[in-house]
Amino acid sequence: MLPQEATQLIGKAGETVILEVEKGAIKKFADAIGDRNPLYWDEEYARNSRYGSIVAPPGFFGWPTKWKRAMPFFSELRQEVIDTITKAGYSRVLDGGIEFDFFQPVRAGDTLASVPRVASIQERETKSGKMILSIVETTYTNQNGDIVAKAHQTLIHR
Amino acid sequence: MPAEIGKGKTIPPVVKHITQEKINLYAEASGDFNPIHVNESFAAQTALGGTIAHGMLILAYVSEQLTLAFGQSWLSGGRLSVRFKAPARPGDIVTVTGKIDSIEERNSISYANCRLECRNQKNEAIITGEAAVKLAGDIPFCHPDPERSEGEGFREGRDSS
Repeated sequence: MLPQEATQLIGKAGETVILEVEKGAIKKFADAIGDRNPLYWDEEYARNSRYGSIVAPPGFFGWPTKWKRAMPFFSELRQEVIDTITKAGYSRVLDGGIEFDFFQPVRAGDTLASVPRVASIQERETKSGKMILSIVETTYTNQNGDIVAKAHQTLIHR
Repeated sequence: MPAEIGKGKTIPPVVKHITQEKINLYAEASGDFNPIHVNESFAAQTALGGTIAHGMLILAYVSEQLTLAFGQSWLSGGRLSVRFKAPARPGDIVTVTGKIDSIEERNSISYANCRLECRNQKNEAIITGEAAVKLAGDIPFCHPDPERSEGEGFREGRDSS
């Protein structure tokens, strides 16, 4: 049986974080990851590409304009899930992976809204005992209302 | 679809040398200054025994490999699922490899389903994962100018388009 405090979290949305995607930040990010694809920094090259403007490497969603903890991956909602399940006796937290769906390129000049939501909390019975899987889904929407990406972060609680 | 993309095709590897400097740059670019990544004396006192690279930095290398292999296609859409198996540390040399498992058609769009791995110099898995890359007709198998990239493994699959 899942603890009630945990099941009550399913569907809960966290705070929206507004992310501004600036070309300078894209270049800095591309430099940091060592990816020299000119689409990320060369305006002329990018203008002549199918995108018509500088785009961000997949996985870069811009800077939060309201700076709080860190990037939206480490949302307070995610922490609340961890704390709640820890209190229920599952104190070991392991990474269960991340899944990204990229629907549209993120462009320089975009303003994205990212909203985390608890997609699921499930109990699993394994050979080594019970564990709980939690999934937080973060949706990134641009200024035109288009969903550009979704991230599903799975945590394993034992 | 270019002839080079097909089931069983190996994706050219990407090789990266992890340094503390690169980790620090990523911290600045991403805003993630967790001391486990950037504070060497703090990290030395933890169970990890030293700083580790951000998981998302290594993930960016996986994504870079897909851009190099599939060109702009990868930037317009797809799915990437990864599991973080072990941390990468300064001094590590990590290699991302991949293979096309199948080509699949969904709603008249072709997707290349790839299996991906990032391993360190001791052959330990850092990241394992799968990607589904949306294929559009006009994409070269390789980035038009692979020399611009830091990757050292573009000998195969280099003659594109």
